[in-house]
Amino acid sequence: MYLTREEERMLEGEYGYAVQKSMEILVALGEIYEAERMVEIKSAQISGVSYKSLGEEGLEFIEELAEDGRVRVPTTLNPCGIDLERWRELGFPEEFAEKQLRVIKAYLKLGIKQTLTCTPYLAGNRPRFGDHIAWSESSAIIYANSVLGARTNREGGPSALAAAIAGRTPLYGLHLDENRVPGIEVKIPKPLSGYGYAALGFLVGRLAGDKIPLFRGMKLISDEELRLLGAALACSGGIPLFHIEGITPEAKLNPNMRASERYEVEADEIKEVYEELNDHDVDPDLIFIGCPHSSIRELIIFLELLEDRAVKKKTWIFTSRATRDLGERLGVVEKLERLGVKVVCDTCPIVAPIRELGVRSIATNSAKGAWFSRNLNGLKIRFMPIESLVELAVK
Amino acid sequence: MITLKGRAIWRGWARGEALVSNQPISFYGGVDPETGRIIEKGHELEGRSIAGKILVFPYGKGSTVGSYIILRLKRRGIAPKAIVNLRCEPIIAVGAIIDLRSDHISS
Repeated sequence: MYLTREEERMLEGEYGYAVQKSMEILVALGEIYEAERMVEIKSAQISGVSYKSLGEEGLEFIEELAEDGRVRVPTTLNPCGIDLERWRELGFPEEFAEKQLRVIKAYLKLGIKQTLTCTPYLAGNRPRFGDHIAWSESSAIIYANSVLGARTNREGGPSALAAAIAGRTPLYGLHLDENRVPGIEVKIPKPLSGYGYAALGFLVGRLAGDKIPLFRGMKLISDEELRLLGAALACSGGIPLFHIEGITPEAKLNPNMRASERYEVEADEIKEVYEELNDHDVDPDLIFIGCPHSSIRELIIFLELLEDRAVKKKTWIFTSRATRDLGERLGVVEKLERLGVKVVCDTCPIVAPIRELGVRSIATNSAKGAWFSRNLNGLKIRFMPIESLVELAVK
Repeated sequence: MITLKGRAIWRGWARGEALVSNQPISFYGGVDPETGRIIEKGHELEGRSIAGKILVFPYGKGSTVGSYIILRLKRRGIAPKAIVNLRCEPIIAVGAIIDLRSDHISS
């Protein structure tokens, strides 16, 4: 792979350990994927923030990088394992919180912004069309590629961090036009709404394999629905990009976008997803929305659906600190909390030590949230629309 | 004696007993970072320890957090001595590279 003189110096260690280690990772990836050269990036999003996934050794690694490393581009953080301000009140274990705070300190030392959200594009890190970026967090990657038209490969925490420190990433995969074309056209049976898009994404993620889906015949889809769809596609199929005819930017730019393979989704197939993601006879310990993190609009929708009724079950809305701050100014957070809903920030149901909080079963409108709760955290799950979640919470 | 020729992804050399699987491995959720044992249910190596082995399998799968699991195993001294893959993908490659005290990996 071609390296500039500057890049060679970075690789040889002239700029210190963190830059050198980062370049070693990036060059190795470039060689694996036969990248011609590096490309400079505009931003990075870093996963691998929760102490639960990093462990002591991962924490040490970040601290070592932070000794002489600093990010070269605007860089934001994925959720960590605790709500930074309310972890005690919410019952997070003390020892875990201490380790978690050390992880965040090391990331801050690297010059990374403490956004602690999987929706950085709602918290000041919003790439523009065509920007090369290096993002980790599958739901953010698919949103940035599909809805914003930015360009990122499916980075993991370490490779996104390396790209942030080096300010560049190898030019291959989704950074190149030819790898962004759809491989399968998908038609849906009838207009869906809300969690129906999450179920659709879960289904299509499985059947598309490594092909990029192009949805045709969809009319209106909200930004929240785009996120539920994308998160589910990425969860069940590892899909990093989708197009929707007439809606997403690359499909708009190219109205003749087509794929050779076609798939027509049957209504029954969507129903099967509902069944698969619902365990029977479960009275959930925790009801949540916010996977991906809720937007201000979802906070308002949840409040309106409550119709001034207080919740009787533990009900949490996971969101970013940025969105919560906005909700506070609008008076939404205060009203939600008065009705017993906790608006939890900086963390999420997947990376928090959820079992240590005494939770054994959950209900959510997110296919991704449900799937990981079962498969990673060993919880019983219910998957249902936001309206039903609210009714379940007040019952 | 079988000779396999491959592409080196990271420098180093190792000698050890091979542990071979025809199934892909997910380090995140599939390998216990405390013990180095495969814990994925139904995996053909379930219950086997990968510590100190030359681990041979087709390719890595699952979450990219898997790279950190490889790092954790290494720093605890219970990582494989080397990894041989049919197809190299980033989770395994990055996992092998990120530690200073690196072994080698080839595909």
